[in-house]
Amino acid sequence: MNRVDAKGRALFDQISSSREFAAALMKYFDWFSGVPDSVFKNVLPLLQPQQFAARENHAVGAAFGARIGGKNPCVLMQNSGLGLSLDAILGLFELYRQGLLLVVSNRGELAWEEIQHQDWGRLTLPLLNATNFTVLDFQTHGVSAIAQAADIIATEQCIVVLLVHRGNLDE
Amino acid sequence: MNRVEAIKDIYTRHVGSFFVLSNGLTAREAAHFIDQPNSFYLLHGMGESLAVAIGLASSQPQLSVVLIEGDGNTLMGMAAWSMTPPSNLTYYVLANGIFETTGGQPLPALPCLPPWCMVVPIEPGKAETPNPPSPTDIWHTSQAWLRQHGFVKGE
Repeated sequence: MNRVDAKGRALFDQISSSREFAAALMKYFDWFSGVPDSVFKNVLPLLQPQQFAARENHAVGAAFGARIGGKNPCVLMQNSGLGLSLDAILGLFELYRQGLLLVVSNRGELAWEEIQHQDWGRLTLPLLNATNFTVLDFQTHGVSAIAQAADIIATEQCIVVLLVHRGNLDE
Repeated sequence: MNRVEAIKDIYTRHVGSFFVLSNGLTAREAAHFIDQPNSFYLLHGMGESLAVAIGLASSQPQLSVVLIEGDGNTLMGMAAWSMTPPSNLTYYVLANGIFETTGGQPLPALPCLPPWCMVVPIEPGKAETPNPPSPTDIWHTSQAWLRQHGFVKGE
């Protein structure tokens, strides 16, 4: 991790532009929801069709409705939203064995990030490991993780989480 | 009017529509006493039925979607009101003022509801029902209806 932002703060490596990221999501998924997060600031305006929600659990609920309607949904959220939406994920997608791509920004990993993010930075990966969702790391897998996630979802009808780190996308 | 009578009446008013039923007694009694293939019975996802119905209606603009949920679910899911309801969604709340599924605990009063939400008062009480269908059965039955009517593709 050698990158720094304009204020001299450490960032994870940039893996792709937000435009390339959004294009890959649009290629493999056809319905988008979530709750805005600054990591996805430049991605969100490029995603269509979208139905963003006030809370992450309702974003997951709406995505499940789209799944009933035959769509391949993708939900974007910051990691704190996992806490709000886990019951909806389990009680809808997991219970009915339907596929979902969750794109999650892992806020709070970096020492300079504000204190309200730090607990979630520490808990996100252990929580995801406890769920047995398939986790792909954007830092490691790059943009090809999106095609890989789509393939896993199509064959296994499961929940795949793509974990994005601060700096992986231009903000 | 009891819950089953209210749900039957709503089904009669919306022939050809697809129905989403909230978890708990609403889905359970509808699955047993009405048992229509154009129905999605939520077994969990407390407070998510409105979000689910909005997602379905927005993803299938030609499909008439009818949501029937209990007033406990309504209170749990109020933040979903912020998602502007699609014009192809009709929304009913069965209001008995209690969390009946969990033993009849009193509910706070419903707040001022949006004009697109229709409240149907029902009597407290529940009918004896067997266990609801499995998630797999619910999924396949409802998908078969949507496929048969040209809304989803696949096997």
